[in-house]
Amino acid sequence: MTPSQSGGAKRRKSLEFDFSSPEAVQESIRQNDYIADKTLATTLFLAMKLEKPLFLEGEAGVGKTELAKVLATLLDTELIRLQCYEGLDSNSALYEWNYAKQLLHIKMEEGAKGNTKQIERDIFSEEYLIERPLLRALVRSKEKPVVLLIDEIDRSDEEFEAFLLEILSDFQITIPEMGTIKATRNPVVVLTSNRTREIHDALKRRCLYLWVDYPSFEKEVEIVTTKVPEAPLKLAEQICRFMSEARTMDFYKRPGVAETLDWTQALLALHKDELDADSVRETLGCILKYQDDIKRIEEDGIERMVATAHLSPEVEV
Amino acid sequence: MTIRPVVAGSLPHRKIRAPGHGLKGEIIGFCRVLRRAGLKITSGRIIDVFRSFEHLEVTDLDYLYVATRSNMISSYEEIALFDAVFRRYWFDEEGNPYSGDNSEAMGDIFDEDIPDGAGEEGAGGEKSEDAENQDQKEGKESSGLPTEEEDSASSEAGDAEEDEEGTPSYSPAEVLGAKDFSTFDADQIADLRRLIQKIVPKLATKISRRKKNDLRAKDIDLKKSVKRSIQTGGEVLRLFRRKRKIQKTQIILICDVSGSMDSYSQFLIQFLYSLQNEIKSLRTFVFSTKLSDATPYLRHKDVHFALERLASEVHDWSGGTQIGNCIRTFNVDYGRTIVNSRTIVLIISDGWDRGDTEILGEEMERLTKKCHRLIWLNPLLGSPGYRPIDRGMRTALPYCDDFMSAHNLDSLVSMTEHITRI
Repeated sequence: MTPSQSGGAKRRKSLEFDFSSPEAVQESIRQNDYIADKTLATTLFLAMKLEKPLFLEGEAGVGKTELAKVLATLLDTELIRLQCYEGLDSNSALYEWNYAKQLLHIKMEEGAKGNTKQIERDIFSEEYLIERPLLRALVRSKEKPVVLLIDEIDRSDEEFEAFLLEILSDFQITIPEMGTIKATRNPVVVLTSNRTREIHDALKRRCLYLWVDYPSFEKEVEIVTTKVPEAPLKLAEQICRFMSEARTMDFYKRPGVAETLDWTQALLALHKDELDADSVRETLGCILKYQDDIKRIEEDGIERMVATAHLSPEVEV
Repeated sequence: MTIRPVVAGSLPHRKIRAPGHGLKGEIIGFCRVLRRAGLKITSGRIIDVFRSFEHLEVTDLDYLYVATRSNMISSYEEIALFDAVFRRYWFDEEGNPYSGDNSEAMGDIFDEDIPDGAGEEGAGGEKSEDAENQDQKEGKESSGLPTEEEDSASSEAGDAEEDEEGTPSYSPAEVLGAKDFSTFDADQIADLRRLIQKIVPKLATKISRRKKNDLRAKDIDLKKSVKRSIQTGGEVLRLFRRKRKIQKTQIILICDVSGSMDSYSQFLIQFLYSLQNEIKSLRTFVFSTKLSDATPYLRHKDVHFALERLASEVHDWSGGTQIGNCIRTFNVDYGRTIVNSRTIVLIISDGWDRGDTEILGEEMERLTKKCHRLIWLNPLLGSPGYRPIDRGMRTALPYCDDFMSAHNLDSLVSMTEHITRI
């Protein structure tokens, strides 16, 4: 996410999160500067009522991770994030014993001639346990459900998916040396995927599915003016029109909302209050991240796209 | 999969339904229709839909839509199908909300305008309703696998229809009609199969990032060593070690079936078929002027049937070559979802390209960055005096990890040896 979006500390803390109805959810989200439509708000509402994990899928940069952050703010609770990668295993996702510390303890006790049983009790206590995100989410949810964000699940591998399946259905973890830890309240689970590969159906079936699309022009303008309030409305509209035009093009990586916000701030920093071809060219790096794509947009004619962006909505319709 | 505009999100009608007694039945009927349409509707999902209505006003169509959709689908590809079924089930032709269980009436209108491709991986021919039902009964993944009941007559009809409207690039010169690949004799097939069984394990593995125990390895497994040391009073008597696991890879075959490859095609197609049957996860694509996914056809158990189907479905067999455009189609439509760091891509082509070599270069570069290993098999490399100097081959060569010949069984043996040495 962009710096502009991640300023969690700056964000107003909503005192009470009213989720008695989808409309109330929609309103609370909006107060936290996240623009949600009815579909999203209703799905979110259902996820909390049914205590089902929420599976967010969509192109990169449409605000999937951000939604989880907003949710944590709304519930006034902790956000525990597990970033997935290939080869992620239970040691880094669940818990791990602090082996080095255990070894040292054993060595020290040896000098003091401690008895073995006592040593064993000592080294398999919480002091030597390293909590990883999944365990932490369960432990912390004891008083108040936390938001557990399992980010970019498509980057992990099948082994981890299978493992996750087990955790998400029981919400309990057994540590052989210590016993079973079970959350009294299930954490609110949000999974995100950029769809770089298909996630196994068994996992997705346990979740509420939501496809997060690129926002419509109107919605994107609203997002820009909410997130970057210092941007003049005219510039915001031009930027968003340029972006929706750009998203129809055949890019390898289409720009997301995160790119729109980055770009708006870049243009503001350059003191632009209107879009022109030169400044677009200078700041292309904000919206396109592949050299091929940059070449393609230049071939397509930035001037033409800027001209389209300048059209007022009446003319366009 | 290319990104299609999403129909979802806003329905054209926001009318409030009158609360009726039959609503529960209607919802169950709706689930039944969805299941018939090919979605995986488990009873758990249906229960969750009803649980949702404990919290939502069921008479609001918007809520009905979100509650059913979020519970019933699990991928982007299914959205269009769901939306179409939803519209057909809950609205009449004028767009007014229906009432009453019309799951029976929905039965006949399936083949009309519900978009296909939802949940289907293969870009193969249209599936008849029967085939869909069949898949479902058997609880298979609907991967476009043709069932035995589906006779080739109906698929040919579907194919002809597709030609008329679906493929602008189609020209009579592209088609040389169906070919008979079934002339391979049994001995040759047996030879080929044995060889492929030998190649496959070498081809299909890669060193994983995960580790497994191995006492001869270099890395010490601290976790296990400490754990076991407790048995001996905290004295580490034995060091446990671990090493990286060998991981399975995904293999993708992209095979040139253009005119210039004609003399090899008998052998090739046999090779593709055997490989497909050896590695279930293999994806096979064939191309000349355009790319098609041959996986569903080649998965068929009966070799002759499979080859016949393939020959009749891939209608530009033995046409011209546009490697660049085809690789591009591959990158755009499939590259994102099926190519990753575990993928080995095998391109089988002579490199004679009549298309734009600039595109070829670009797309080869993109592909080689995404996959684990890119291997180009060129049957011409077997003929004495051949140098890869034609435009296409020269462009593509720098992006290939391996460049090998594949014109007969012997060359496959040497390829195996080469891969073993890697």
